[in-house]
Amino acid sequence: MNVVLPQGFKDECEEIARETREELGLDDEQRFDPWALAEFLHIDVDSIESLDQSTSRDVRRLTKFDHDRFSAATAFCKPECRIVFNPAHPPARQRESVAHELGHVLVEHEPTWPPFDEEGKRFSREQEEAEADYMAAALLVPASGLPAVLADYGGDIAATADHYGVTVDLMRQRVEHCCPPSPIAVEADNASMLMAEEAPDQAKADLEPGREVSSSETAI
Amino acid sequence: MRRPIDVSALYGALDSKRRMEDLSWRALARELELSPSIFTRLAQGSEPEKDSYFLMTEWLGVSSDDFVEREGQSEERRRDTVGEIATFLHSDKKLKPETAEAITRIVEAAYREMAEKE
Repeated sequence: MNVVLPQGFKDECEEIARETREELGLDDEQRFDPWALAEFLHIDVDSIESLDQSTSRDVRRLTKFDHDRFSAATAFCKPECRIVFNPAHPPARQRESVAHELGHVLVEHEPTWPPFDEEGKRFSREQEEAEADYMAAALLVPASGLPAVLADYGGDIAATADHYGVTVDLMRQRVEHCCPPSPIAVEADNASMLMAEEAPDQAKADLEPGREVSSSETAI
Repeated sequence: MRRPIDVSALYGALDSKRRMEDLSWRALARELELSPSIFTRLAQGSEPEKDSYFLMTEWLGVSSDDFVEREGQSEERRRDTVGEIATFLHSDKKLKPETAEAITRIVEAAYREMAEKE
């Protein structure tokens, strides 16, 4: 399913990220710690392994056998909330999962219950998931700081991902979104477009701004 | 000694009024010139600073004494108010039923521990 974020939503997220980093005393080139933000907001963040003994079988399932299926959840005892995450994932993914949960809180989504229907199928909330993804990405890798940091690492995406403590996948999406090609590269593209007589419409479509994006593209 | 504030009642009153006025928490924070994080902390049961508290009661149009707890009220309230369960979930969309059940029980356990702490 394609998800289109509301007009202005991305700018709003970047602004929230900027304000949030400022409150934490971070500039936009420093690594963001989701646990520090949770502490600042007085939100508890715990590994699912810390839950009471009655869940030990479920925890084993989600950390050993189905470890890739569950990243994190925010449990609400309204209005209070607590984040639990899957410790079986690598640190960068854990950071993204916790930031995603905080993203829901920052953009003020309304939590719901139950999470699944009677057949165990998850209720679809793709729009909100894409929004929380974007908010998390803006917190972890702010658009305003990324170009300079990327340049410091000579354009090395893996090294920049390591700098911000995120996965290479997320960094790749952020670079695509936040670091538009330089004017020289755009001029070269335009020149090749003029020469692309065989498929001019397609070449134009590739450069069209504001086109609909898939949910994986939006998750940056 | 300063009496504690009934944070839950204060949060509820702010929430009702801002919904009536169709304001997000962030918009309300802007209007009161407060940090939006104050409202998140309020939701978590943390008392606001005195200055922020006065701004909130002023916006609500009530006396600043209205949310000050009476002797013993705090314990009474804790027994009376157990929040409603709800969740955000970051998981695959397609899950085996037993995995979905495991996740539901995990969220319920996290909720139960919070409710018991109240």
